[in-house]
This record gives sequence, C-alpha cells and structure tokens, in this order.
Amino acid sequence: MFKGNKVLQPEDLDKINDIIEKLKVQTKALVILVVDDTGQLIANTESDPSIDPILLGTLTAGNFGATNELAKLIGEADFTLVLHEGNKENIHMLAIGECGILVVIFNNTTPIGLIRMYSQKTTKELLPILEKMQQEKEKKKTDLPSDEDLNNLFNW
Amino acid sequence: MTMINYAKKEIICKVVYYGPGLCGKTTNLKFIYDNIMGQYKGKMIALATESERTLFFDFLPLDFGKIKNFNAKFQLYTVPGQAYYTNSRKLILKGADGVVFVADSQTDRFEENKESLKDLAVNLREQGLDIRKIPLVLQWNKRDLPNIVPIQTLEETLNFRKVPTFEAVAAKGIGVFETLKTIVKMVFVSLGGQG
Repeated sequence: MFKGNKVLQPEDLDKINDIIEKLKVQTKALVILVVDDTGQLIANTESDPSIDPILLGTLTAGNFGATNELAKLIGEADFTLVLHEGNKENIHMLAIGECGILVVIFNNTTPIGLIRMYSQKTTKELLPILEKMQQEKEKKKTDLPSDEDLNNLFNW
Repeated sequence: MTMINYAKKEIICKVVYYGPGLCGKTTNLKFIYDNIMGQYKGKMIALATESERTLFFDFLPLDFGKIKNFNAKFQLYTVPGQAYYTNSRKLILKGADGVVFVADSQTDRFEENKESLKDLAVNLREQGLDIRKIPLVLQWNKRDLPNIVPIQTLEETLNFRKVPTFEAVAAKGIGVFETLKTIVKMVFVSLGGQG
C-alpha cells in the first residue's frame, strides 16, 4: 500500500510565500491561504490575529469537499470554485489541481472579477510546487522522535 | 498522509475518531480539550446539531511543541456516526494517519459497532488506506453503563488485528488520554518506519 507523506522543503515554502504575497499586493486581499486537499495549512500571509489560519484551512477543505459531493450529485466531476459573499468580506476558494485550495479573503473594495483572474493565474504557479511536495522523500529519518521523547512528552 | 514541513520544522499528523452514532467520539475530543494543558491545544470546532449529533465533523488541533528537531502537531477529527453520513466520513478520512475506533459497549449497540467497523474498512480503502495497516486503536466506551457487552466478546468480534484496546468512560475521562497517547505513539512509529 502506498502511503506517501507530503514533504515541504524550505525553498518550496519560500516560493509559495512569494507567490501569495504577490497575489496579496495585486488584489489587496486581507488574507491568503494555501491549504492541502486534506485541510492542512501549507502557507498563509500574515493576517489579523483574530483569524485562525489553521481552523480556516480545515473548514475550507471540509467546505470544498462537501461542495464537490454536491457537484457529483448533479453530474459534474467537481466544482473548482467556491465563493462566499458577505456584507463586507468574502471568501474565494479555487482548486489547485487536485492538490489543494487557494483561499483568498477580501473585502468589497476589490472586484470579484479581479480576484478570480489573479487566483486562476496563481493556482497555475502553485500547482507544480504542490505536486512536488507529494513526490518528495523524507531525508532525515533520524530527526523523528524516539520512544523516549514520546514518553517524556506524555508526562502531563 | 503526514505533512513534514522542513521549512517550519513541523510534522502535522491527522487522527480520526470513528464509530457509530452517539458512541462518544465528540465526548473524547471535548474531554481532551477541557483537560489538556493550555499550551498544547488550539481552538476546537464542533459542527453539531442541537441534539448533540455531529453534523459534519469536530476538529481539535494539538501542538505538542518541540520533540527533537520537530514541532509535533496533531489534528484530531471526529466523523458523524449515523449511517447516512457516509460521504462526510469519506471526506474526513482523507489523508488520515491514524484512527481511533470508539465502540459503544451497550448490548443493544453491538451490531452498530460491527457495521461501523466494516464501514471504516470500506471508506479507508476508497481513500487508498488499508484498515489492516493504518495505526489503529480501539476504545470500548461507556463501560459504566448497565447491559454492556463483555470485553472478551468485543475483543473477539471487533479486534481482528489485535491492536491496543482501552476500556473507557469518555464522559468522565477514563481511558481518554490513554487512547490518545497510544495512537500518537503508533502514528509516530509508522512515520519512522517508512521509506
């Protein structure tokens, strides 16, 4: 059975951060996240401390997964875009191939069309990096915790 | 599917609490959330109905801090237990590194435990995971109630892999941390043995 881990190397995280920081400038977005298809946060731009990026990532992936089930019910393979519109702030989620989701939170000063255009361009840049993550091998097994480390950890 | 982030020196693992409806999966997470040291826990979310049934999932992120060179983070999820939420369960199992199967010890829930375990096997397979290999812990919950199935029967019927099992009364916290510690260790062991 194949059970591949996802390995994010420092240089790849730097690339992802550069890409989403550029998107933030282009769109004046409030927060941008890159989440993998299981809901784990890969990267995010700095944001208001009241926004918890880990929870946001988890709920986004759950939301996206549920939406894809809806797609199947009506005979679509999937929905690649999910948009939530609020009174002031909105969430735009776009699939990064089958590897993850690009989440952009923005307010009403930015037109949705602009978010959509730049998000599409950005997912194309992110896709090869996320695909590479799944192919990376762990390099330093010795860094993993030993039994003793774990026993110490659980001295609650 | 563990995420190993060499940039942030983080290992992020996903553990799913599985089992039939109202067996105590959410109660496990709530007890952990209420009793684990503050430095370890993040914000818990519970997407539940008013009748306490989980509608989509519960989520509790735990951050165990630095172990050797890595920051160890565990994300605990529960699934909705009722039979008709099978699609939700599949989604949540995606990328799971370990599973805690919570069985309801009451006699009249015995068949539901068996059905739920079968459902787990099928749903894991659809995600490319194998119930015979994934780190798995079984918890015999609600041991304080009358009319419960003997442990031996539960072991013989449900513990086909002879994995670690724990008697529990999740509402009182009995067996909850023992279960958590064991699945965390098993996930780490499986992580170290790969590649």
